[in-house]
Amino acid sequence: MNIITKAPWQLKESDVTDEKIYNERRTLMKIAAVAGAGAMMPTALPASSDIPGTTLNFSKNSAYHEASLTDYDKITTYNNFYEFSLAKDGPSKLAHTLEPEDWSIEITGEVEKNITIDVNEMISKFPLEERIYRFRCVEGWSMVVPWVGFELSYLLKKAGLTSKSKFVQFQTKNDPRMFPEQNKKGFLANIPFPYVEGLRIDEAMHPLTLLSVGLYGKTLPKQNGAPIRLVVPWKYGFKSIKSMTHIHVSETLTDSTWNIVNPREYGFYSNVNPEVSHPRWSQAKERPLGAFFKKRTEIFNGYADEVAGMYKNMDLRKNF
Amino acid sequence: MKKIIWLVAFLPLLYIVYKFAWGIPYLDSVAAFIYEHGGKSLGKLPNDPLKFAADTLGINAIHFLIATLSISPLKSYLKINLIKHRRLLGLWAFAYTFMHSLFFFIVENEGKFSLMIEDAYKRPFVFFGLSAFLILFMMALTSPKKLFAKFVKWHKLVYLAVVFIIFHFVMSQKIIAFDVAVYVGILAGY
Repeated sequence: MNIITKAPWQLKESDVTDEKIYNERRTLMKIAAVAGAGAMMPTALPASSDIPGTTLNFSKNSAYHEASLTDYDKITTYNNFYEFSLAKDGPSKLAHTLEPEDWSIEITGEVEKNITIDVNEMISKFPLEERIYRFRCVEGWSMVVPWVGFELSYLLKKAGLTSKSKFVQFQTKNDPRMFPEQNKKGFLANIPFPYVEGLRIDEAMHPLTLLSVGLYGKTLPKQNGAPIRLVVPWKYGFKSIKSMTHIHVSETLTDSTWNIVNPREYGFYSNVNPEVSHPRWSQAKERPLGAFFKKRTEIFNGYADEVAGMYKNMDLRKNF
Repeated sequence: MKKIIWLVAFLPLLYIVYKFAWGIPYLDSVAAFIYEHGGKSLGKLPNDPLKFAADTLGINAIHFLIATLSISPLKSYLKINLIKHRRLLGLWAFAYTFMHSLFFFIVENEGKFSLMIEDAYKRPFVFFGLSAFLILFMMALTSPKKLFAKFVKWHKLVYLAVVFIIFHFVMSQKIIAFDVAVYVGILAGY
C-alpha cells in the first residue's frame, strides 16, 4: 500500500494564498512602501546593543512584515499611559516607579481552573515570536512596532475555556506606589482606575492577538507597559492594555475604561475603521509618527483578511 | 515695548520652524548645529509633527488673546497704561488664530471649503472655533483707527469669541487636564 505521509513543511493545496489576496497584499505593500518614502524617516534597525533591556529569545514570524519600522525612540517617548501622566512624553520620564520584576497574571472566572502564572514562566514556556504590527491610535496617529510576544490563546488554553467563556476582561495592575496617578481621587483623578479592557472570546483567541513582553528584541520598556501587555493590531490602541495582572473570563459583556468615560466616543469593539468617524474627527487618515503627511487608514488596520470574518453580520456603525 | 512684542510674537513660529527642520534633509544639519550649541530638549523632530504644529499655533493664539484682554484690567486696577500696544497684541492673536485655522483648513479639510463647512456642521467644537475665528477676523479688518472708531461697538464681540474659544478648547480635549482648567479659568475671568 502506498501511504503518502506529508512532512510538516509540505503545505496543502488549500494553504496556498489565493492569487487575488496575494495581489491585494502586493498593492498594500506598495502603498506602505510609498508612504514610508514620503515620511522621509530613517528606518534602519538600531544595533541591539543600543537598546536598553534584557535580550529575549524569539523566532521571527515573517508573515508579519512591514516596509518600515517606527524608530525605537519614537515608540518609547510617545505614550498614552494615564497611570503616569496625561502628556505623551510623561510616561517615559515618570515610569521608573514601575517594578516589573516580580509579576504574575491571575486568570479567574468562567475557566476550567483559576490559575496564577508568573511572567518569567510564560516567557520560558510559550514560544516567543517577533511580529511587526501596525498600531493605530484612536487619536489619529500610528506607528509600526516590532513586538516580541506569544499568542494570548496559549495562555487562555492553559486555564481551559468552557461553554460559558464568552468575554474576556483585562486589568492593569492596581498599585498606587507604582502608578502615581492611581493616587488621585475625585475630580483630580483623570480616568477611573484600575484600567480595564475587554474582548469577545473569538477576538481573544484569534492568532493575531498577542501578549507582548518585548519590543525591538528586548524586554518591554516600562512606559510601553512592562512587563506584559496586550496587542490587538486591528483595534484602536487603547484596547491594547498595558502592565496587565488580571484576566477575568465571563459569560456577559465586560466593562472597558474609555467606554465608561465617554460611551459616545469610544465603543466596546473599537475596530479600526476609516469609514466610521470619531464624533470629533475623521478616522479616514492617520499621522504616522515622525511624518509630515497623513496616510490613508485601512479597514481593520489592514488586517481585514484575517479578522473581517468575525464581524460579518454586524453593523460596524452601531457596534463601533 | 513694540520691539519686545514683535520678538516674543515670532518665538513660537521660530520654534515650529526649528523643530520641523529636523525632518527635512540638509536642514537637519543646521538644526544639529543649534542642538550642539543649545538645549538638549530642543534637538528632535516632534513625534507627531502635524499635531505639534496645530497645538502650538492654537495655544499661542490663546496666549496673545489673554495678553490683549489683560490691557484694560491692567489700566483700571494697576494703573499700568499699555493701551497703545493693544492693537498689535490683538493682531498677533488674530495672526496665530489665522495660522491655526489655515493649518486645519489645509491638513484636515484638504483645502476645500465644502469639507470645512461640513466639519463645522458635524462637529460642535469646530463650529465654535470657526465662529471665534470669524469674530477675530472682523476685528482685525476693522482695527485701523478710522474704521475702529466706527466699529468700536462691534469689538465688544471679543467676549463672545472668548466664550466660543473656551468651548472650542475644552471640547477638543479627551479629558480636562489641570493646565486646560487654568486656561479656562483665566479666559472665563474676563
